[in-house]
Amino acid sequence: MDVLLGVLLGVVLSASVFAVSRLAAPRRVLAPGEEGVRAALHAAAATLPHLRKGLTRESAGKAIGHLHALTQAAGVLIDDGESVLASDGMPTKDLGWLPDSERVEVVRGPEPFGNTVVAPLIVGGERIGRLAAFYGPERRLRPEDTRVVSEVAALVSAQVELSALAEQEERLAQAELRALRAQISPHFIYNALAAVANSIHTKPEEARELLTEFAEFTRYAFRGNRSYVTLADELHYVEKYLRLEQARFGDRLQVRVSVAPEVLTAVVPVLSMQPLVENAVRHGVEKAVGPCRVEILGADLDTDVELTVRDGGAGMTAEAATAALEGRGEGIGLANVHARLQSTFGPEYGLEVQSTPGEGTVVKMLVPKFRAGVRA
Amino acid sequence: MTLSILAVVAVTGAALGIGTYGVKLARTTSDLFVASRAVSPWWNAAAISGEYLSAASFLGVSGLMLKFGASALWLPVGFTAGYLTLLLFVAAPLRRFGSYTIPDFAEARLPAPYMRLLAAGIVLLISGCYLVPQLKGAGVTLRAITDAPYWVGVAIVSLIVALNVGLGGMRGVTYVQAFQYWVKMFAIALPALLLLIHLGGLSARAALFGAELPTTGPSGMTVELDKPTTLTFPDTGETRTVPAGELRIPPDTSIPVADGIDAQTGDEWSRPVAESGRGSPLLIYSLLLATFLGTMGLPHILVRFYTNPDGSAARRTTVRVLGLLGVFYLFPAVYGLLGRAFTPELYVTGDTDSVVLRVPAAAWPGPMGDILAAIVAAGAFAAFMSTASGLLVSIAGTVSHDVLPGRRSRRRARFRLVSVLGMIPPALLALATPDVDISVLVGWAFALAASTFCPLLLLGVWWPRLSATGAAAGMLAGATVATGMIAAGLIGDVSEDTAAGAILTQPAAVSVPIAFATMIAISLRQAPRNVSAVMAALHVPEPVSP
Repeated sequence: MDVLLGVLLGVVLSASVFAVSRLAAPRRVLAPGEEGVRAALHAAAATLPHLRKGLTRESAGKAIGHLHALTQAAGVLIDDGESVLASDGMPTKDLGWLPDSERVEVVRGPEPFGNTVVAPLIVGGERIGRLAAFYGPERRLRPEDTRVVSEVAALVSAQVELSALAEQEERLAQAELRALRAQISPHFIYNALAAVANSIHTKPEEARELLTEFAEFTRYAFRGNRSYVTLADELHYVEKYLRLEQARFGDRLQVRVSVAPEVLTAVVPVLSMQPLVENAVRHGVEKAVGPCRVEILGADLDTDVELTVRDGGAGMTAEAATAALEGRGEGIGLANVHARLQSTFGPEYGLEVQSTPGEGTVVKMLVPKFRAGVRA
Repeated sequence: MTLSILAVVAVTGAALGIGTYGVKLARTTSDLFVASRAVSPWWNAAAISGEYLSAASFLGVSGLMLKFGASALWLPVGFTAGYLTLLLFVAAPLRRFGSYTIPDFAEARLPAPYMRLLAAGIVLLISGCYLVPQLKGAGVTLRAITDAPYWVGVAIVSLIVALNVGLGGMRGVTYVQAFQYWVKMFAIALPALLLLIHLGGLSARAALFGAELPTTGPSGMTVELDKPTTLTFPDTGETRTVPAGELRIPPDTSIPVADGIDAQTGDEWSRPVAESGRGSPLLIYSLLLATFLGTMGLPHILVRFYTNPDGSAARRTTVRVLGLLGVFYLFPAVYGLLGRAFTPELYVTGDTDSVVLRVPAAAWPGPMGDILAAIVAAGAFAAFMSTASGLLVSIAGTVSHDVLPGRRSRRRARFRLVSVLGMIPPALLALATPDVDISVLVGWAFALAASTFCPLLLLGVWWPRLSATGAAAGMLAGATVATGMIAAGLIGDVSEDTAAGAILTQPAAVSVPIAFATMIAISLRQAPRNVSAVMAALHVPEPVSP
């Protein structure tokens, strides 16, 4: 028995050791002679994530060591045209002799800098700084040195350019959100204030409550700088919105909210439910004569969450529903929400509109319970 | 007997009904202003406990206690204390992070293409392993209340659970699952308390807990054996195989014991630690390690923490779980104790896992005993039905979401297919291991979780340098070592008396350190990555809400 155990343990341990060695050892895809290339590739790859945050004192400081290794010079330096951002291996004083040029230049500097290659960093056609590599007075410059420095400068420029792109994307998302905020209709604000004015003499208590709700709602809708909120928060403000609408429509607007408590912690883009509900109220109640029911349902689909907003209004044709999702119909609220959901969670998720004329509209919103990087 | 069957049918019917209609009932239905109300920690804690208390807790602990004595009680200690490690190290950071399943966490913390797939594979392994003892519980229970063969119970319950999940398809709603906890609590506590009151003490049988072996008493004992059984007769020391059928044991002889059971005097039986065997310190420490660290890696438990609104609510929930489980685990010990006095024939048949089901009728003959037996049987059914459903949902969800993601429209069909197919391997394993104790089977699931997901979670949450390669290698090493040792123990048919046998019965003491060491060693060999954003998401407390 003990023998069997010994054999087994041996097999398992050796399998583990084998797994460790296979997984941990750096994979040799290159011959030993090409070790230099590998080291250079590693140094290049290591600089990338830092510089993708833009060219600042901090990111340059983190990347400079790798750039130093990449150029194999005695010292390197990055500046933004005026002040030194980071340097490695050389002092940073008395650099007035560095040429200011649009091209790669080779100069001979004073002690201890010696032979120096200076390359401009160009982003979007504009010079944003310089990369200088110092080789010391003894070392003779070779043509490769100039080439290497200009390639490294190009690498840095490309990464900084990428960072600018990412920033623009961020700005675009922000702009989309601002566009949506601007859309929360002035109509609604007018109506809400009118409803408050109506009850201010007869029911002052209620009017005061409504006004508080209105204030809180507008703060959420217009001021917040958060991109994502929990579903609980979003629904909280949807309820405030609905109370204001109920004050206006009275018994004509009947609302039912039925959401599984398990999904309230899911994270959604801010103002993703509210436009759907506002649409339901606008199309369901404003265009109908009798009482109208708006339903908000939230279902737990294990790894996903399905939210449904249903109104008993006039409905629309299938073509109009598709058009609304693509932003061609009236009111681009739905399209805006759909686009933001898809860019956050991927093409699997987003909105779905089902509608038949005369029988109301159902908008379904599907979001995952978790997506890396999306936090309230 | 008939009463028990009726109770079981009622519980099963209720479970199926809940699967179909419960989702609708348990939603917050309101006109307005209730949607943003979160689930309170008490409800959450009861739901987690309800999901957690399985056949191993309801039947297995008492059975193991009857068989091996007080040393079996380390098991519930570990089952409960596992939530302490969860509370201290994992609950709040993981809730802040927001991940729903363990593959979610693995992929977000260690972005590598294979991470989700690997974690999903281990979820399947652990869930499947945990399903086996639930099905075994089904076989034992149905045999105890209807005398049907063992395989009938396994087959019937596998089928019911597979259909229920395949058709209903949802994880138990929080409020329903919380209710399940109270059903199980009631079903185990009420009969135990009534029996204790009815008996008014055990003075007449106090000899059982002294220096003597249990005896057949002045009137002798008749045992019905359903298969040829190898018995050891402690008085003479002889071991022989007795044919199936009725076995008469003369009065005032020590009770013979089936293969795999040691005849123990009361003194030995009531000692929690022994030199060797089940009570050996090595086995106990290994078991405690598995349960302390394994609880956090159970896939069907961790998803329940998602319902907590924030990190501190997750902590409050975990503290309540500790309390709820602590109270529950007082009662299995009562059945183990009563079983030694009232159902010693289980030593002869070896069917110790059924002690909870058989004690009420034996200790309180008459209609009252039958009623209590029916309550206990219903509770046992509730225990393994709910746990088995939760595990199967995890399996089917993992396959349809992580392993084979694809078009949404086909996901539903795939979920159904997997919930039927996924039941087959555990059912076959349950049929293949009729003689392994339920609690031992559960111990394996815990050992697997402790040697894979525990290091992933602990290091992933607290150690910024953990790398994807390191985590993958560590989980693979832990899973391989643990399954390899368990399989070797099964094939080699080891006895727990030797150190080797003990470690093969419960491999955590070996596999957990191996998994940790592999993860740390390989991660240290790799260049550190900047993970400050992920670490901040895990550890920075939520802002105070306005």
